[in-house]
Amino acid sequence: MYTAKLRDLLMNENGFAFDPSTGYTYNVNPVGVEVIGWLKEGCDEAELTRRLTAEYDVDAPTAQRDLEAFLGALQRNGLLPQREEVLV
Amino acid sequence: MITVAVTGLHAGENPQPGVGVVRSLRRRFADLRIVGLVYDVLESGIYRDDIADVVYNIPYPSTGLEAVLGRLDYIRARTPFDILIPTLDAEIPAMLKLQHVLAARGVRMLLPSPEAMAARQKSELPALATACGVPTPKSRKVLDVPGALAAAEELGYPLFVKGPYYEAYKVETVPALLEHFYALMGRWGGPIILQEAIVGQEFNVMAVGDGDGNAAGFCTIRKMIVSSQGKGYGGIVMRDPALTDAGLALIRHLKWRGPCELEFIQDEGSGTYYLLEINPRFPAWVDFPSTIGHNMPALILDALLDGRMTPLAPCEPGYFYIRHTEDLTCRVTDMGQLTTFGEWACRATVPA
Repeated sequence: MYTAKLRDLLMNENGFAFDPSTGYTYNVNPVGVEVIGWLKEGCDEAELTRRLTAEYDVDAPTAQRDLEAFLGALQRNGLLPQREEVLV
Repeated sequence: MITVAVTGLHAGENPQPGVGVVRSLRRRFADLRIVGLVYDVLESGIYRDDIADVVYNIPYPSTGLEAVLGRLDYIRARTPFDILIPTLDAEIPAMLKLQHVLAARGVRMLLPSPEAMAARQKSELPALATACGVPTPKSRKVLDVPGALAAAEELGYPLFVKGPYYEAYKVETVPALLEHFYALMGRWGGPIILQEAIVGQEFNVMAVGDGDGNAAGFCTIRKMIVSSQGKGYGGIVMRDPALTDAGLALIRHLKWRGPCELEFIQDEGSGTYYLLEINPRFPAWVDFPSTIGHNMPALILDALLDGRMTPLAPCEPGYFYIRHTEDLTCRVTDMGQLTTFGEWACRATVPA
């Protein structure tokens, strides 16, 4: 996934994040912090789902649904490109 | 000892830039004497003990240039000053006319060229924006009611009704449009500007231009808190290349000299930055960048004292400001001194 904006995002271990290009701040929960870290590593959606099911007590469909919601939130806030703009 | 005269010292509701300018200058120059020039004895900044050394009343520019010059001559005879920093919009055209006369008296100012001032007028903004490749909301200049109604029909509601110098109101109906049209025409004269309403976040750029097209100081913020009058009561430093490019393009094109504030709005749909206004002076939040190592008022003194200004390091994101008001306790006798004599030595060491 194209994560240039996420790479610029300044985030502390408590999930308080600051986007220096917009001046917006966010609060991200611990799972979100982990997912953003994985996105920065370059994981695709399949790998993200695999890691979520491996690390948390959650089945794949639930993980996939929650992941889609989270990626959608990142897109709406301009931190990930919209799907049609996604460069894989 | 450098003596600098500064205007715009009210820091109450709708604060003026003068207090922030002085605080920034005092951060950098220890040996500084400040002459506060005020239009009203209730300009709050003069009652702080760290702003002005001596305060004088001055007449409004609308009184006429002769009156302004006469008063400045009187003040200079009492308290000679080397540099004048006007901080209010309405003062800049008058100071442009007086700058050579004042320069001959040894008073220096850093002002934009008359051409740049004319090009940044609200009524000329569309042409300027086109020349710089920076979008601006569609707007129309109107001088009468039929013209206003026709322009509003074309632009659609809601829209902004703006005076030529100050004030802007968002209107959604014809009666509201006419109410503000008449009020603004009565207060400021024409032309009145009708402007398409763009919905989105507001951003401000503060800069100091060197007059050759470069910005020696440049700071971009997103307004975090907007007052009922549309003023930024909180702002956070951000750096978006698109906004930086737009700001620098304007400064380059205008060969802007001195301080300015560029106001933008980002369309929430497209993400495009639209230029709303160019103010030919520092904004009220002028001291905030100075507290994080980006002292733009100091650049003005550098330019006027040494003939050059060294570009500041980029203003880094990671800080924000929030406007905070305090009540100052003041002596009635001090106000009486200024009211009666038109001058007041706030600090006992400075004769008035």
